[in-house]
Amino acid sequence: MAEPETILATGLAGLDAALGGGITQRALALVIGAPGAGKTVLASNIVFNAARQGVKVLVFTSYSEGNDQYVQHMRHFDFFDAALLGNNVQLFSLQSQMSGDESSAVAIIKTIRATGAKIVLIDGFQSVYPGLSGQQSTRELLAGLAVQIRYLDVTLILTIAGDARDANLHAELTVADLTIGLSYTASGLRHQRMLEVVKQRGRAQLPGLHRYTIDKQGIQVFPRIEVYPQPSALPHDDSRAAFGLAEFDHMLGGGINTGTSATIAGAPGVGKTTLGLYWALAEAHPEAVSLIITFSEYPEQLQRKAAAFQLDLQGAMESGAVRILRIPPIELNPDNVATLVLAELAARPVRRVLFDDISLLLHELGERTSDYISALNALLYGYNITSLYLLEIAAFEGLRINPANTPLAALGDSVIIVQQYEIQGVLRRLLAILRMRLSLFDRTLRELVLDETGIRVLRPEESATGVLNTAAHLGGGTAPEVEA
Amino acid sequence: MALSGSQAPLPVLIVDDELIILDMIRAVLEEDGLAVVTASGGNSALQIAQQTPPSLILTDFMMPDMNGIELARRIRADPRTAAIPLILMSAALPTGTDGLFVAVIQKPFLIDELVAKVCKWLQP
Repeated sequence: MAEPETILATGLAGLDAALGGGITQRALALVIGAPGAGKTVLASNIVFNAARQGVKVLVFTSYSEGNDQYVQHMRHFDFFDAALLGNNVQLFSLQSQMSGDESSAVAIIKTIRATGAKIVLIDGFQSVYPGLSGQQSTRELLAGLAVQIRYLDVTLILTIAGDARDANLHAELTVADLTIGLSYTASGLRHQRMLEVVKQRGRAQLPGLHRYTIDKQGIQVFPRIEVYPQPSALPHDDSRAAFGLAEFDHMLGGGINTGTSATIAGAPGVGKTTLGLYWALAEAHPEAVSLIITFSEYPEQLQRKAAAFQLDLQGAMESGAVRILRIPPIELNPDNVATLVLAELAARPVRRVLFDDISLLLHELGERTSDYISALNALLYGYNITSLYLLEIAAFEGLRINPANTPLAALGDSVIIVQQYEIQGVLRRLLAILRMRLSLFDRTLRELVLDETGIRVLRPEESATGVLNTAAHLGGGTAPEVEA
Repeated sequence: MALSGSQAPLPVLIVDDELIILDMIRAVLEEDGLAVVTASGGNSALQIAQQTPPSLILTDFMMPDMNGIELARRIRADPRTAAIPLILMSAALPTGTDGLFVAVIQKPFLIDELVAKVCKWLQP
């Protein structure tokens, strides 16, 4: 009796996520895309990953690219392993299968059976069409292959040039168990590659378009975080994620509510990153890791900044209590960011995530901002992880946050703002908590001081006379009443 | 219907209304050196079996003109064919097959498992 169907992981984490686990064993899978989209690279990446795991693979190279050319093109990728050729990877020219008297399907099936392959790639399948006899239509050929691979225990991947939503490919799409569409366009000055799981039988895919890249490693797919399955929510409690700054934590009722998201919006130079470092280091432990995602500063720059305030970021990194992930801001890919963050969450017991600075991400997200940030918050909530976004706002413009495309609600359950004011000839930093959704909080304006002793939020009576009243007037806030 | 191959003294009769499967099994068994005849329905299979009794009958269950169980009953009822071993291939495993088949194999089976079963029942 046949075994129940299993799912073959492709070895490409992002693709497996988009497919809901991988490719169903014994499926007929189509990879459809325009020339240059990376069909052959994607399919080859999958089959070489499988071959490396000991699976016997058969590759039929296309008419337009014979065996030698195929090897020449693929050997530049890290997934390619010449030692597998002739062993777990057999290469045959598709042309050789079409030249005999037998029908195409019979010839292909005989070769598959003779090699004992369990995964078969037919590259450039459309080149078979002109050779089909009058009796055999494309649909019949594909239907024949689709039925027979189930009996041969073979998973068959075909690459086809075209558009996966082209009505002319109706015959192919009808027969296939899985169809992956690749699109490749120029967006501004950038190339933009998008993958879509157009059709999958028997299992839900992550819907919509997902970015992918091709580099020396091969293919990387970055599923949209908006459609990622939510983890089962971990139990939440009333605990707080404190900053380790007594007065500030007191204002917050003890700290940010654990498992929620918060934003510190501040003008350049007000100490957002320093506040973030205090928060990331407070209570960080190898079993309760703080993850810092930075789009600008390098880890060593953050270490130096922390050391200036007697914060041992380097020691925390060495112990595994803090992880820093620097993602270059050049051509920032939000889906890549999400994929990297989720990989970190899966790899270690992360309890806090700090994003410094999220403005770059918001700029890239455009109209996706609200959905993306909401999805990210929901995922972090599911993991019971507390997150802190640092957001740069314009200087000297008061206690206002108005980032493009970003509803304030998306920025988190708690919103803190730090602004600079020129008061009596001196630049001063004023801090206010605008919102805490799940907690009472101190609504007074406070002065934030950074000096050689560290960072402090002053009690009202510690600020110079008139500072808070002036700031409140300028910023539209409320100055605390100070006893004379 | 055509006899092919020369190594087996009597052919294997394959009965299936799905021509893709019929052709696939035929190709595989012929590749393994067996003579094969095919029928795409129960009635034509019965005629072939009565005219030239095969060494083994491999039949599908669900066919429009006569299902595999009815075919087996008739084969068993005819003294000329009663001793021919029958193997049933079916997506669903039917009841009431006791004594009719030497083996039942569930579709989609692995082709090598089918070949192994056929070879087992062809052994003298």
